[in-house]
Amino acid sequence: MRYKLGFCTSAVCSALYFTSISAFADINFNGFARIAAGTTLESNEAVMGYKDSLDFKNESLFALQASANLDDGLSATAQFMSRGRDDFEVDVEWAYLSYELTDSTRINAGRLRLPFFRYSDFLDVGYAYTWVRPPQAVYDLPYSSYDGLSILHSTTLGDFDIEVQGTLGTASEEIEVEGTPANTELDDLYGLNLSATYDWLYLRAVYMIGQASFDISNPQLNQLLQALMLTGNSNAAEQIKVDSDSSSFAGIGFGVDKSDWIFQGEITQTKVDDSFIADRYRSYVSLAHRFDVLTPYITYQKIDDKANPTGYNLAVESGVLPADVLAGIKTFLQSQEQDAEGEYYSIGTRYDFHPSASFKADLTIWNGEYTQDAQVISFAVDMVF
Amino acid sequence: MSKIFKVFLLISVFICSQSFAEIAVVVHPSNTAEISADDIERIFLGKKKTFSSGETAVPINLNESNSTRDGFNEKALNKSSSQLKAYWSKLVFTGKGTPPKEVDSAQEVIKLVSSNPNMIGYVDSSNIDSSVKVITKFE
Repeated sequence: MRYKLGFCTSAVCSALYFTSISAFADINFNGFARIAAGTTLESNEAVMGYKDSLDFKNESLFALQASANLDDGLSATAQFMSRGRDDFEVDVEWAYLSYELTDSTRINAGRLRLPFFRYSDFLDVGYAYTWVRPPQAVYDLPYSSYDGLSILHSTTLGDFDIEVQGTLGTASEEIEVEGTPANTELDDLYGLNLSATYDWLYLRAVYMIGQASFDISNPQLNQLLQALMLTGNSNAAEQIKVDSDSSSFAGIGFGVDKSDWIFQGEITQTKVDDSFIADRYRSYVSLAHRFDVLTPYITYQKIDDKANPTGYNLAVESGVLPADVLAGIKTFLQSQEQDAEGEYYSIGTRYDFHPSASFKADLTIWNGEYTQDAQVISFAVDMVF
Repeated sequence: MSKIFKVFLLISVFICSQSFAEIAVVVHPSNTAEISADDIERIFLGKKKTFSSGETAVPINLNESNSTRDGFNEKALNKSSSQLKAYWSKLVFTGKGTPPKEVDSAQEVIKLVSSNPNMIGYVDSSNIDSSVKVITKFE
């Protein structure tokens, strides 16, 4: 898995210039890659980025990590990732300096992963988990990286290994809102997460807060907001806009890995107060069994979001808005809940066919409460090197 | 006849692989720390960084092509090679840890361990000499 190379590619070299200044830096290269292909089983189905024709790009990726060990507990790491989804354009998802304050405390500064979920840190390292992908109902938050600090402390409590991580920073991401791109930001991000591991048992809890702001270019939504402002309903507009709104994320997780049985789950809740964004309640449980090189699994995921009707209620109370505008607001707010609501059922297997690579196959059935059902079959080869 | 030959071959391979499978965990002769099987596991998984004496513990691994390593992974770390690889990839790609330094041969392990009181390694027990201290053996 670890290679020390005497050369590096020009792209990596220039990006790592700051680390290569030191003639004594010990640079390690690691990498991982995934080639995945998938398709929905019936025509006109679209779910999880797959449509009804075989797609090799959606979940394929290639990543190279360079880390320079500068001694005395100081190191610099950068991870370059090329995703099929982005036409294999190279992006930096991790780039940080790490300093070991003590044997058990480490501080990282730079671009880091947001530790929302159990598998957040190695979301893209498919080799590290059993599934083709971490359960998407829970894991589909648009933010995966942030810029800031993280302090990681590990200790033991009785027979438990405890890890405490504090995070602080900002995140930004361009996401899609009602089919149009929106520049979004999470500011004043503070978070604490705690994990406890005892031999076969894993427990985790996380809480994060931040201020969310969305700059949305969707013309219909902007028209709607303007109509509210012009009719003296700025209160209602404020309840719909995402403008420095307090947001919170809470999650708990568990895992049992005993006698080759792996049972695990996570429950998360995401809220952006005073905005059109529905409160998100997401969860999954998954069971797998290791038969030597083969690890079949089943997973159940549930999305049970709740629309935020405050903006609509205020608009109705004002009594000055035409019925069609009110209906527009209602539909828009409701769709935030209804477009997501549903369940996923997955069955699949991991097959360790090579010491550094595994093959995975997965069938996921989407059962939408308000949206069309769909079935996706996908295959992946995950490698680490 | 050829069937009997194959069976014989299988049995002899089995016996051979058994007789060479004793793995010795070694430290510097001056290292007097109490090191349990659990400590060995934790040190090689990067969860424990010191010996009971308070001295820093530096594990030395054999590289992947060395068959002693597979035996050590299974017996001392209770993990298959791919489970262990998955374990380290979780840490390596997240800045939470680095796997032990790797060397190519048992001779190199002996050489390093015999010259550094902080190091702990493992070798096929046929390689042991008086320059290192054996703390435990896995069969």
